[in-house]
Amino acid sequence: MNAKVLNGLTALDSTQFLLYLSGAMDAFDQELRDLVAQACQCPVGSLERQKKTTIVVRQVIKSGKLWKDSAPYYRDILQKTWIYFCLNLCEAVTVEQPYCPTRASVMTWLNSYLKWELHKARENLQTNTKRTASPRMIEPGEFLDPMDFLEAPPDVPPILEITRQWAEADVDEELRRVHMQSYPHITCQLLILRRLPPETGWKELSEEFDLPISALSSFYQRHCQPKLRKFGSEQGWLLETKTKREAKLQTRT
Amino acid sequence: MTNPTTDTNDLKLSLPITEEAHAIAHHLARYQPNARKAEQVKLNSLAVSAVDTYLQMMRIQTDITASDSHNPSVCLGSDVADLIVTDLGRLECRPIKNNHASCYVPIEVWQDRIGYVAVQLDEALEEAVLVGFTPSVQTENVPLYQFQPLQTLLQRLDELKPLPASSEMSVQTTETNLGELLQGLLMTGWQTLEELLLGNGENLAYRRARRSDAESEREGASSNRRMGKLISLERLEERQVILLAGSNASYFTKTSASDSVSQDVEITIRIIPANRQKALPTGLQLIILNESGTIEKQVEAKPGNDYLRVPISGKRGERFRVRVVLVDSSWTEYFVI
Repeated sequence: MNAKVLNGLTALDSTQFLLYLSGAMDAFDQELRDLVAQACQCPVGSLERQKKTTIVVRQVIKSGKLWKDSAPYYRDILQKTWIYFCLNLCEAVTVEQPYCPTRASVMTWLNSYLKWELHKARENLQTNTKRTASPRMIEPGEFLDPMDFLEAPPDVPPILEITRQWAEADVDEELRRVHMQSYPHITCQLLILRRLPPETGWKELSEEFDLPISALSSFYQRHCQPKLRKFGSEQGWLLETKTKREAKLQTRT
Repeated sequence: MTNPTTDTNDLKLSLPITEEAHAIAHHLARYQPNARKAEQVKLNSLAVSAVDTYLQMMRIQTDITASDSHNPSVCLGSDVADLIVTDLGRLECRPIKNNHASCYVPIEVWQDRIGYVAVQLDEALEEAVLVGFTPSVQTENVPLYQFQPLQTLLQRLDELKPLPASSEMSVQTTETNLGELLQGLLMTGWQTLEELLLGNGENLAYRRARRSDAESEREGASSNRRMGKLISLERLEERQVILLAGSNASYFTKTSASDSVSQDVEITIRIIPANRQKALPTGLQLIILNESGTIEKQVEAKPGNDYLRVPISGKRGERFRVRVVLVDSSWTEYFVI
């Protein structure tokens, strides 16, 4: 289609061609505005709203009109922008005013937020130049040093050894007691130990015990994984994101 | 104008992989005892983060830190990339490196999942493309074309959403109340067998179903009822089947339910062909799952089979699911007795 237009062009037509191009842009803005209006007509949290919002996001990406730059924090800011965009497109969720179609095109609204946040991130970085790691976006409006966020012990615990010892010792005999129905020798303890790295493949286990892979893996998933889950959390190995939640609460109140 | 490539791209969604996601992935990977496990945990975590971002954008609540993919000891013993969707269950987010044509879904995550999202990661690990969704898997290497557009994920999550307690308006029948259904309460998608087969022509399975009605009447269960629902496994007509739920409904019609609370209800789930088909598609599976999604019973259609039947029994208030699977497509119906 574009090729045809170009072929038919003469020098005199070039202004018209420019108008055509600008017209196409307006057409895109209009299309986007219509899509947004359609999305906003659907109830908050409805499936239709979600589907239409996804289409809007996809169209924006496809258009290539999203502001881009090479800042190392660009992707964090972009993610933040997408969340801001989706939450405030129809209702004001994290800001005081939602998107207003009479004031700006969707692209203008989106890009100005993105540029402003990039600007803020740059300033933030400059004031924190003494820090060794760059600050990272945690929650809209919140910047935390990754070291504040990830409270990992300085020495990573040898979790494989600790887990193996726990499974072998089986102090409460919980792992030995739970076994596959009619196969008292195939216990949780056995499967957990066999699946710890370097793990035995399901196929090998299936041949060894003469049981279908599905039976073994389903038993493992239903009975052994929950035990590992509980153990991991009791050991305090879960990523502590209290900081994250508190930050979220503070921005909301 | 459009070619197939842009068409499929239209169904995907590309999201940035943030420094924060990298920091978390790195943190989780550090726990693992070898480079292979560390890489696996890192990629899984990045895929989970991307899906988490998308669900945040859609205002769907998640609990990423309680997910197994964030639990070092579970990751140690399993290749797991789940994301807990608050109140709905675990969604598995599988990473795909570069241009792989299939998505690896290890057998240890085949259960207890509300579905699977394929997430393509670029080489620089800066961009995650949500490729698509599938509610269930039957093979460890799922070809990417078997993943359905992302909106199916939204649909699935919407179906699973618990109904608001007092709003009858939004009857998005996520769960079928078997008692009400068999007492004749109208429910979306459900019809009597007669209505369903009207225009479908009477086929052998229908005659068989009627005959067994007559048989049960002779056996004294005079109030035997059954209701059916047309299920489309694909757009093709021959991929449509009818799901029938029936029971010795005397239990349900009793006005004083108090004396029968502990009594088991006998229920029969059947699949029969639709659209004048003489037989069910070979390999069609009928699977009964319990409330937590564990398979209880499973039957499969052999060539020429014109029905599948699974009798089940349960108590009032018990929940179960019926899943119909044909090759790469499946349908799940949720019931409460």
